[in-house]
Order: sequence, then structure tokens, then C-alpha cells
Amino acid sequence: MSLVIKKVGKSFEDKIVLKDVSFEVGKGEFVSLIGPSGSGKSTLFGMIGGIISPDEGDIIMSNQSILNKRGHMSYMPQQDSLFPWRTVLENVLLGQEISSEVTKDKAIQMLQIAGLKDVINAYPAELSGGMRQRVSFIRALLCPQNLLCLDEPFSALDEFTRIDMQQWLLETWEKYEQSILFITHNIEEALFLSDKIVILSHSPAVVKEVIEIPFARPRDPALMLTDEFLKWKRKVMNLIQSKN
Amino acid sequence: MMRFIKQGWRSIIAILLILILWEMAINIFSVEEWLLPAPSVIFTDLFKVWPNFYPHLLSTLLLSILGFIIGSTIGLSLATLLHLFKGLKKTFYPFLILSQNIPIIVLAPLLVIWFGFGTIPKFIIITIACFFPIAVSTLSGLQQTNRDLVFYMQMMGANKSQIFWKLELPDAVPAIFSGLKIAATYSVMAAVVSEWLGAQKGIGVFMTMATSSYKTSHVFVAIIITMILSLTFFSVILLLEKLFSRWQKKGARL
Repeated sequence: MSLVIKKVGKSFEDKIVLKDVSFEVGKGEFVSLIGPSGSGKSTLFGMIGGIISPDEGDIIMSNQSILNKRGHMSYMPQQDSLFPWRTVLENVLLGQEISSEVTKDKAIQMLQIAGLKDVINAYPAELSGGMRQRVSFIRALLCPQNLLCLDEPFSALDEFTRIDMQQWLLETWEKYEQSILFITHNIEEALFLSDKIVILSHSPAVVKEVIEIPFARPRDPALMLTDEFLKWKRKVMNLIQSKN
Repeated sequence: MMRFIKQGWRSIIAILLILILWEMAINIFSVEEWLLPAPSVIFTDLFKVWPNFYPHLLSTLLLSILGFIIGSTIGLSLATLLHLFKGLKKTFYPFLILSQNIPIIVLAPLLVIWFGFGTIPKFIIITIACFFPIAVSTLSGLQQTNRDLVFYMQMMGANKSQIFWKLELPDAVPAIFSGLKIAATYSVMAAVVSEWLGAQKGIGVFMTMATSSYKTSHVFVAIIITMILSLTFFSVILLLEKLFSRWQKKGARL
């Protein structure tokens, strides 16, 4: 699976939201989209999901256009969006129910590996915010689609939980082969998680820069305190603040 | 039971107080029994008349259960149709409300003219009383689905029927039950009214006979049994609701 965003543009009424946006997500790659709020990142997700159609440009997955076609990606929203009347296991299976056949054994196995064994039969209301986001991620990961789109999944969590979650996300994801497209406001988060960061500018959003992150995997949170990491952070910061 | 006493003791004391005042007032002002019988008289009459009353109760019970099932099925299907086809809703929603402005007392004789004295006009009356609360609450339940969850389903590529069965319908369950609770109490009342049209058996028949022979205490017996029947219906629905929304209770515990 590879995803190619090709010169995509979109305006709502008179406001240009996205302009000439192009980048790629390779097989098994972790790509972060970073940019100020209102820079059309979620609009871009809507296009990949097939529920918003761009005014110009194309979105290509594995050499085929997926413009206005639904069901080609798996999605994890900012709010966990778990269904309150379903147990953790039933929630995790929801993505599969929509797009393919249900593999209950695989789901149970995955929940066990992800450290969610004890809450398999719990309802979402019984879980903490961090736990709910874990369930939500497993739900996305369990889907047969090879592209996961994560829309600021940790922005509602506190700092401690967030660092735990980033570490957990990497560990869990590295066991599987899906590609991830990740929206965030947080530079450290983007640096720590990604292979590649796409920096978007404020409205209209254009791609300012695409940078490859050279840190080896598997990554450890200690990485965030190294000089190398801070150097990269400065670089990204400067890129974000620079005028077009 | 302990919980019931704990929460309901105020109401229980109030009822007892009213009954005592009532009994005293009848004695002090020596009210004629055919005008207003004392609670003690009604109570003893309840036991005296019970063997005679029992078949009437069974008949009304059956009628209201069947009527309730027909009414709620129609209410649910109607709400689903109006929800899925927005054009239908715009056209027929006013009719839904107008249907509640037809006085049943006027409609009843008409239904007898059209359908005779059989069970059909009775079911129509109960259905008219039942379907409305269910249709309205189901419709509003279906329309108040969490936007975030709908957006998630769309992003995942879910089609209209998946969104309905997996999200909108289960999300509307609490609303559906609040409609069912109202409809359950209406159905008993409507069943009794429909029996006034003419029937061999039923609480409604018993009531008309008691009224025409000035056995006022028997009218009160019928009223009390109707209330108990209504309450029982209500409790059964309440129990079903608890069974269907265990997840809510679990969440509330934390």
C-alpha cells in the first residue's frame, strides 16, 4: 500500500483551505501532518475517507484513484468514539463489521498483546481516557485496510498519559505492517513517532516542507532528551515559524 | 423491596393519610354509599366481587397486551420509515400530530359503524392511543445520534443501513423505552375505553354495569384494578429497559 496525495486543493465558499498539497505515504511508513489549527488537516482526512471531494487534484492508493470512494482507510478520531453500549471486544470488532468479516480470535489476541486483557468485557464508561484511546487504536488497527488515519488521538490526554500512549502506540504498531498518517499539533510527538513529517502552513494550507526523520527504530522515550532530538525540534520549529 | 420503601415512603404515607381522611370524612358527614363509598367498603367489596371480576380482568389484560404490541410495532416501524425517508417525514409528520387530536369518544361509535362490535375497532382505538408516544420518542431518539459517532461511521465507509442498525437504532433504545413506558399505561386505559363500545367481558363492561346500577363501590374497585394493571405494565417495561441498558448502569457505578 502506498498513498499519494497529488496537488489537492479545496475551498469552502470563498475561503481556500488547501492549496496544491502533495506528499506520499509509503508502505509501513509513519507520516505526521503538522500545522496550526484550521490548516485543513481534518479536511484532508475527510478526502482520504471519501466523504469530502477536493476541487482539484487526486488521491491515489496503490496506483488507483480513491477520490470519493469510501472504506479505503481505517480511522481513529480525536474523541475515542467508542459505542457506549458495546463492550471493549464488541467495539474493537466494529471496524471489521463495517468492512469485512469478523475475526474474534484475532481481536482477543490483539487486545491481550496490547495489555487490554483485563477489560475485554468492560464497557467504555468504565475505562479511563487513555484506556479508551488504546481500545480505539486497536479498533483501527484490526481493520483490514492498510492505511490508518489518526486525527490528533492524544490531544485530549494529560501529559503523563500522553507519553505512555506514544510509547505504547509505537510498540503496538511496530508489530504490524500498516502505514499511519498522523495529525498532531505537538512537535515532539511528531518527531518521536514519525519517519516523515509534513509541515503545513496556515490558511490556505500548502506544504511548507517534508522532512525525513532519521532516528532508528525501535525508539525509546529517552530519545526525546538527546541533543540530536532537540536539534531536530529547533529545525521543525523554525520551519513552522518561517514566512512562506 | 427495601429500596422501594426507602425511596417511596413519602408517597406511601401520603396515600395512607388521604385514605384515613377520606374514611373519616365519610363518617363525619355521613355520605351515602351510592354517592361516595368509604375506602373500607371499597376494600371489602374488592374481595367479595373478585371471583366475579376475575374473568373481566383477564379479558382486558389480553386486549391491552395485544393492542400494545400492535400499537408499538406500528409506532416503531412508522418512526423508522419517517426517519429513513426525509421526504416522508415532511409530508406525514403533521398527520401524526393530527391523529392525536381526534377525540376517541367520537371516533369509537364511527368505528363500530364501520367494523361492527368485534375486536377490530378495539384494537384500532388502542393502537391510536399507543403508537403516538412511541413514534414521536423513537423519531427524536433516532435524530439525536451523536454526531461524532456518525462521522466515525462515515469515515470508516459504513453505508446507510450499517449506520442505522449499528448506530442509530441502538442509540435510540433509551428514547424508545421512554415511549414504550407511556404507551404501556395508555394501552390499559384505551382498552377499558374500547370495552365501553360493547363487549361481553372486560373491566370496561364491568364499569358500565356498575355505574348503571349505582354500585359506586364496584366502579372504584374497577378503577383501582385498572391502576394496578397500568402500574404492572409500566414495571414490566421498566424491567425490560434495565435489561437492555445494562451498560448505562455499569457506567454510572464509577
